[in-house]
Amino acid sequence: MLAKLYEILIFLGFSIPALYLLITKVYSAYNEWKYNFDFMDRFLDLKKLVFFITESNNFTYQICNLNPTLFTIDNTTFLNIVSELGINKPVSILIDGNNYTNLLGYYLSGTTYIEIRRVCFYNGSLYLLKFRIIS
Amino acid sequence: MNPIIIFEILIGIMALIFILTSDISPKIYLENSNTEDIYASLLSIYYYAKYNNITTCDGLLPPLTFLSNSLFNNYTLIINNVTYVNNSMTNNYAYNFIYVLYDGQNFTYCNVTILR
Repeated sequence: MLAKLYEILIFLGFSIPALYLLITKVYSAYNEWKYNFDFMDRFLDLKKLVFFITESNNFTYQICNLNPTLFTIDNTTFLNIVSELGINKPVSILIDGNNYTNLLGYYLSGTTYIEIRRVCFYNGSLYLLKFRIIS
Repeated sequence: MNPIIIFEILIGIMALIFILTSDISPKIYLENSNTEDIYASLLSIYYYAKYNNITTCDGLLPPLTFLSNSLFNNYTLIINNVTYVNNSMTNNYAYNFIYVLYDGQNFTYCNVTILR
């Protein structure tokens, strides 16, 4: 009986810390996976917007060769486009260059965001487009 | 000591080593994710050169500097093996683009490399 109790104590002494470590390991792995998944989800949403603005026939003649449409749309139209693309997170585009600055979408400065930058051509000049999505 | 206890201790130690060393979380690597954005931006300089009738490689320097300053914090800009801007401590990635300029008579090849 004493030997059996001794065995049980050793078994519990190893199994309880092992179980605790396993649970914390799985929990941290799940958190890391969730962070990666959320990041990828937002990143792909932003990529979708980048492709739509700089590579589709709606806004460009060729890749990164912009037509005047982007410079004529207002904020409401832009947000409608974003919702039609299925993006339900706050996004913004800052168009900057040639003494012209325009912000479309939600102002995301000061918060954590993912940013993609592209330099595109329009009417003889280069413009920097900063696409942002909340992280 | 009872051999069963020794066996249990060994199994326990092996389980601990396995739990502490195994990495079960998925990894996502995005180091090169913005390569296509950089090449799309480099492509826009081709339209710029065509529109503004740039026919020499030196003429590409202002738009390339604007592009590099806009996209990178530290970079090295090389046109035809001549280094124009070098403020990069480490060069992990190289982006290469060849522009073919035409002045009506001759073609000029500009081999542009950006390191960052």
